[in-house]
Amino acid sequence: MKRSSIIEARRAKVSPEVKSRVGMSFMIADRIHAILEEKELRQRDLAEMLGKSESEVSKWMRGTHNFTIDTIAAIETALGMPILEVVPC
Amino acid sequence: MPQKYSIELIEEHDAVNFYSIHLDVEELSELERFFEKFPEGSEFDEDIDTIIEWLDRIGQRGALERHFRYEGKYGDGVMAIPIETSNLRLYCIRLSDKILIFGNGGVKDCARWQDSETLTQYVEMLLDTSRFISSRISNGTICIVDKEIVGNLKFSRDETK
Repeated sequence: MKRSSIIEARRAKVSPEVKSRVGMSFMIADRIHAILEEKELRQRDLAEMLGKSESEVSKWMRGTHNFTIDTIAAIETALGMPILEVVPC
Repeated sequence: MPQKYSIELIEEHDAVNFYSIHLDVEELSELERFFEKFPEGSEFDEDIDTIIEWLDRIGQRGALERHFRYEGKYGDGVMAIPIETSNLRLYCIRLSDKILIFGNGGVKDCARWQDSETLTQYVEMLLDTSRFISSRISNGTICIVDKEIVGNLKFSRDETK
């Protein structure tokens, strides 16, 4: 597959932490999206449930948002379904 | 004087092809010129890392609308890559879930891109290009085949209009 040598050179320097963070952000956004679809809700409905603006919820769905535990807990409570699972000790 | 440019394929990924505007007077495409402006060691290292990782994920999964930030009007497909940690902006046209056309970008130092001389140039170029492509798709001189744009991809634009 065609690749740009300039972008490839920069791609090789991307930090593992950023890769992990963006990966997690996409996974959380996908999970929220899947729950909304399952419950036949729109982003606007979630925003209303949480007292947030629709544009704030749109930001969460983009794959670069740095979610806080507070935000995830609020979303889980509003939707009544788990977003994250932590591996027990 | 008209600004002449073409749209060229820059990178192929499993689910999306990345195209970019390439000005006739420049050696590199606009997407590559964007990355050249922020080399490793710049204050925007983490944002550039985020953009590249985000692009790679989009390349694997598809350019779904919900992952982009709207910059133009509904229907023109002009979007920004969603960076929240700084005012760095990279602009593109989301032609479909499988085709992105990148322009250039930079640091947004005003509340709106319309107030930044540099960013206005980049966004307006994409807005014009989006319009040119829609027109060429309508008259059949360009067609979209899966991840490819086929047809006449050379453009001429009068920046003063």
